[in-house]
Amino acid sequence: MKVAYIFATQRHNVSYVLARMILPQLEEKRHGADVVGMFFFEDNNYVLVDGNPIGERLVKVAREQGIQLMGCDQCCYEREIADRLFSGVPIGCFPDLYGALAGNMPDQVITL
Amino acid sequence: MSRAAASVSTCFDAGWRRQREPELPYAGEAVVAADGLWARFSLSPGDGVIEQAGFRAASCVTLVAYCELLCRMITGEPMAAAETLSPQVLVDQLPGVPPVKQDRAVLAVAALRGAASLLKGQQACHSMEERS
Repeated sequence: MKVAYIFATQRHNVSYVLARMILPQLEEKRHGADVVGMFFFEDNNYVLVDGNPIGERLVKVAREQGIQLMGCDQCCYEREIADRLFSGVPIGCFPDLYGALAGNMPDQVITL
Repeated sequence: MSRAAASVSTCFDAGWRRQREPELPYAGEAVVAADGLWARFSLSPGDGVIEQAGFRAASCVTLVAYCELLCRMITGEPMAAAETLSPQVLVDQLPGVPPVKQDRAVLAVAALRGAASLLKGQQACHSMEERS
């Protein structure tokens, strides 16, 4: 099964659900589903800023496993980080996300 | 030409509100990019300058921000200013836009030039009619 994750709420999602659950499982290749994309809203975008330690692991695994990462453009502009994301990680909105996933569509989109 | 100290976010917010205002008398054709993004400017002339500028655009945050910045830059300037503005000026004036999104500046400037060209043409026709 192919899944895409949308990180829509803040609180513990990046530091806990992503960093301690999803990411280690992806690194160990035992997540149980093929992750094709991750989209980040609001403060969750800070994980995509170049140099973020969780982001470094995420970008590495995304490159290895063909996972499309994308930050919400409005959220990134508002936080003035749009031009500070890891190389190759774009910003965009829904049309960009669907366009990026068009060649590898998920079966399920999971909003966290 | 006025220099707006601006961020993408503040320009987008202001541009979003500006789009709700009625269109001005001289509205250019919409310029449509290959990816479906579009923009259209409208202008109001006054005493040799652009008195007011407005726009409608697709709901892309970068494009709306560039269009808003153009409106700020062009208001109160001579008509010729609309023809000489380059997309690079917009890119320079609005830092923080990733290179992959900077093509929106080209679309915004093309749309502004379309409206300016229409206004110039209609003003030329008007002055010819007055002379004859």
